[in-house]
Amino acid sequence: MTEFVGLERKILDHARQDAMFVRGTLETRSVIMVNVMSAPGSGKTELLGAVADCLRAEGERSAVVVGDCATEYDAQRLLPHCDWVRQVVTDGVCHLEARMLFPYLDEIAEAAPSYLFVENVGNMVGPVDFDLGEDIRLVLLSTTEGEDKPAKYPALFYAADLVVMTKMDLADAAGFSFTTAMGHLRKVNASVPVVLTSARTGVGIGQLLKELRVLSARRADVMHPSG
Amino acid sequence: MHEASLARAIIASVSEALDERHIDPRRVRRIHLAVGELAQVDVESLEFAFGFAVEESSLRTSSLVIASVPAVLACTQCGSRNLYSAEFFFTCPLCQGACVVEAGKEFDVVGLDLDDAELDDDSGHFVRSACCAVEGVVT
Repeated sequence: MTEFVGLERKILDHARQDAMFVRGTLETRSVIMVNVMSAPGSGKTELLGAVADCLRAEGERSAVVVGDCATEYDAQRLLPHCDWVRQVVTDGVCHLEARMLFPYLDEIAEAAPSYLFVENVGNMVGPVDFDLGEDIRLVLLSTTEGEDKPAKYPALFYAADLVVMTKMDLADAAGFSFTTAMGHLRKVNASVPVVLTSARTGVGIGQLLKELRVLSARRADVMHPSG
Repeated sequence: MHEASLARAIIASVSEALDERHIDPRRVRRIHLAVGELAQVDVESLEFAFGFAVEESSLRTSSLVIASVPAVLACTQCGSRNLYSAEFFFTCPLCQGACVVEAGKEFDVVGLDLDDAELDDDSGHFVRSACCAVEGVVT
């Protein structure tokens, strides 16, 4: 014989509370946090380096937390471009969680960046379920990984606030069809803004920054409605 | 495999609920979960990961019972409600409008089956109550 006890518990409530803490802390410091998610090798690090350069040229500061299962290679790559960089080594865990950012919140506040980019572990499944406290979810789709990624990983692209198509300089060589990719993407997310970039040539990086600013402003309106 | 993290989160969530209700975790036999179709949880991987994670916890006598919740989408344009399909994804099958997820992202503990036994404070072992005296009845 067993006795049934009913519960109504959201299992990831703790993760959500952690995320709210991060969001609250960064908001009081006017730091906009961008959670950057994609498959491994789609160009997150290269893109963030280019975006950080662009911010720096406009007199703004940037910070990056980069997550990987092993090594500090990405942090080393980003160091020359950003004002503050930390590598989180997850030891095999395929996503970052908000609590992993706790040890760095004071340092980030001190670095006073306009943007904190969190380069999630390269993975298209795990990171979607874990709110890190971000204001903007940026999802990459590279021209070399195939146009059908949004259909294969719908939850990730559905969650995106902004989609960046990367490695556009390789589009022809890879036989990438923008129209086909957009067809897949629009079924999954009918309205998400899309920016085409090449971190190598610099194409689209300014436009990406513009879109980030639009989303940040919209976010600020939600948090502090003016009327 | 993010199911390992999810397994640990289940254990943490259930342990907290038991704590609040002053229930001995060793009484838990089954943990009932509701897992939405869009929750991105691979049930087999979760059960596998839970099997390992639970061994190191006070819930080691428990197992998972997982109920799947179908994904229901509401169209923001025509207001119709439809089941999620990989043909239309998050667009409306009737008007192609954008849809919001109404159900299907659940990852919840809905309840627990507790062993109907009381803890013998002296020995620390369970004493079967009369109604389940036969060994093996409680699984």
